[in-house]
Amino acid sequence: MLKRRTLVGMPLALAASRTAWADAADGYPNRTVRLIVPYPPGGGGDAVARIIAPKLQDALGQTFIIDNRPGAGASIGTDLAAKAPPDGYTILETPGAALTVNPQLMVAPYDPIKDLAPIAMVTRARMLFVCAPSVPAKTMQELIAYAKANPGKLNFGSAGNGTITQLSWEMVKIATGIDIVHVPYRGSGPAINDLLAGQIQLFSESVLLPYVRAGQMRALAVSGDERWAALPDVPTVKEAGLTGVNPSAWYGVFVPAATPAAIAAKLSAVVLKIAADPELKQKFDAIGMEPTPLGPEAFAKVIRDDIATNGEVIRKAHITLD
Amino acid sequence: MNILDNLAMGFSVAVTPENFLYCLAGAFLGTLVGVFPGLGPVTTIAMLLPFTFKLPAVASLIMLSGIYYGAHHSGSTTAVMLNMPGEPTSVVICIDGHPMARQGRAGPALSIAALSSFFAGCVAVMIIACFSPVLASTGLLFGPADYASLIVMALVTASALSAESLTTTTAMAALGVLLGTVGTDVNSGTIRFAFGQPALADGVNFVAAAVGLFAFADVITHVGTLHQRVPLSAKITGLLPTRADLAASWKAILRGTAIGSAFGILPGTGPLISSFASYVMERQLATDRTRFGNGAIEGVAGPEAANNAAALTHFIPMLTLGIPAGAANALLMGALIMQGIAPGPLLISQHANLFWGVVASMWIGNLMLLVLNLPLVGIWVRLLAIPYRVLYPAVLVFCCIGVYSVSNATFDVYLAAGFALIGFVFKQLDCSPAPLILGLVLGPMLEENMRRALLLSRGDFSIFLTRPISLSMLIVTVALAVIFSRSAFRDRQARLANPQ
Repeated sequence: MLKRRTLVGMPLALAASRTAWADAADGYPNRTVRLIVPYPPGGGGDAVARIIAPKLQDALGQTFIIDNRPGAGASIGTDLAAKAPPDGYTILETPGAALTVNPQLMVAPYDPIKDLAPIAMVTRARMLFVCAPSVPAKTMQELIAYAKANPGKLNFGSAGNGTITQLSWEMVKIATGIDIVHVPYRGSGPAINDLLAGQIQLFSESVLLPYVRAGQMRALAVSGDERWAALPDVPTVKEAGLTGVNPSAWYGVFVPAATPAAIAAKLSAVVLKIAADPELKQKFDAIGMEPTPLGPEAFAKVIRDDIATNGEVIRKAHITLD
Repeated sequence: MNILDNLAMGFSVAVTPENFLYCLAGAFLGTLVGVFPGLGPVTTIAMLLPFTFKLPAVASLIMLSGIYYGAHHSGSTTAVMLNMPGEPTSVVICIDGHPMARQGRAGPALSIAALSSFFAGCVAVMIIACFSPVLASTGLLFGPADYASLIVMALVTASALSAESLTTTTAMAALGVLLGTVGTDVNSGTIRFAFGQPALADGVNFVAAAVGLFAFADVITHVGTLHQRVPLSAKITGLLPTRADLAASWKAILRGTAIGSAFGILPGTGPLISSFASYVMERQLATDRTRFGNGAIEGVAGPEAANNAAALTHFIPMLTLGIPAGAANALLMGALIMQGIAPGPLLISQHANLFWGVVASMWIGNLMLLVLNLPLVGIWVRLLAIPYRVLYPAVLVFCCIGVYSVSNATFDVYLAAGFALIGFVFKQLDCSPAPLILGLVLGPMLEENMRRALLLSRGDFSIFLTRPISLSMLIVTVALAVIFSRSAFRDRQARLANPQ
């Protein structure tokens, strides 16, 4: 009797849940949405969120509040988003490191693949490999030759242990076998300061354009598959003769993994449209980023690839935290 | 173009009705939000940053700078009134500012703070206008080894901060340094002493520690006293500084301005070191040292001038090199980048109207702050007449909001509560928490720079002695240590000779 009732009830329940799904997406969003950024205001991750939030608001008719939750190398904010109620009212916008680097370095309280569902990639930043003008090398190959002739002499700075700025030069180290010393800083600002002062000689970041234009740093290579429109004379990493070196710095949007598929799909469509908006291209240009709208499946593949690549660098370079 | 032409252009940008209003709005908002206990310039800017994204670049930077120095000005208000430093630099204002308030002299304390801020602000803006390009590279002269030695000097100076025994202050500073080791080790990335709490991965939040040790501990102590129903300050004697106050302060203001302008150029450490270097200097120069810690007006005037001068000359590395000198500057730079202007070495030449417009607006803003702050003194002082049972719960609530807002973390509020207990014990033992706060802020910087210096020298300690700046700092440190221990010895002899 009981069994029969459940059996009879099942299709009904399914139908009901299907309507609930459709309703969830139709009525979504009907209140304020929280957009978590796991970094303090003012940085690249925050900038992307602030550029897309008004457009999300226009497209979906609800307020998108940016909630900066910095700390522990983005782990705190990312964890908060991963464990939020999966109803589409808490979404995450973050650079890749929180998913593709941190969980491999520390015991992260979240699983980047299982706990979060990718909505869309929004932009990519170009990592520029630079050296101080005092280094007698005009190209990446000359630099490698110089470093081989003077092992242990050059220092490369980074924005901190396990950041993409460190992984970039670690990749070069692994690919070419040169002996250069890593000097970690707290953020890129102090590292730029010490590069200008000649304390360190090498650095890699996406915000170095003004210094290269002013002749205070020499650009050796840029990440990405094609040259960068902003610096057309600078070769790509591949053209510079570096194989297996292509640091990936993207910014994307995520929801908790259990978020209903209909809501995720709706968000995905909107974010992809926003990322492709020509009006925003200018704004992204201004912060040194290129819009790269990429849907959930393709984005998921990039994430898996990056986890593999970064993981290999982390193991080979013996980067350990905790 | 010479400087006068540039400044004329700057003023033509800054006095357009629109920009003038943004400058006023920035200074006003900064003052308003900055006066919340626990809310320093960094949090204030972070909260108000999004409002400026829709403005033109010049207006946005004018307004944000207004918020920045406005919040710096009002940071001393909570220090004087509630013994609550909103930022590391106002820690020293607590030492003499708050005793002044308890003696009914909150008015003169706040007025002299406003006046010295205004004077220091004007001088610092002049320095930015005239010498920015020349000073641009000064910060670059300081390498990691030099910073490490500078911080050692600062920590030794901290031992002369209060009237207590040298042993007590040194021990408190050392405790602060130890607390500073909590969090991620910059070199290896290892998370130390965090007990598995991700919230501690970035170290002990300074605001939580300051609110707990100063404001909360104060509340607990006073609730425990018998005179709970008496307002904080029973009688208020005048709002403006007396002639004697001005006579005692003007030299302190001049010295503070000089110290602040010089140290402000150094990224990171500048304002903090300058404000208490100024305090220690005034204390050492004073004929009667026992007044310090008991409401000496020079102890407010000097550090406040130093703090504000440094806060403004801190703009030099940002505007000339694109290097943020502190967390607040990093936020301002973020705002510029959002506007499509990449701060860097070419900023002054490529965006001349932005640079000069902002510099000119700083002058206007400082004047506005003076006009804004002096009448406010009356209102703040009247707040002190509110009975404890009303004032203290409100203070507690505002403090909690301030602590929470730093990184939107509930954990920090609990942390502040924990520090409140420790702070209460310190109060019973007569240990001033100021050196502890300095240790907490400077300790991690010392470790970072020292280890970085050794990394660059490949482990050779002689780097601290072979770099001229570092060597001179260390020599000064030894000299200061000798001076301080001698004067501490004399103070002790005097106390023993005439026990009260």
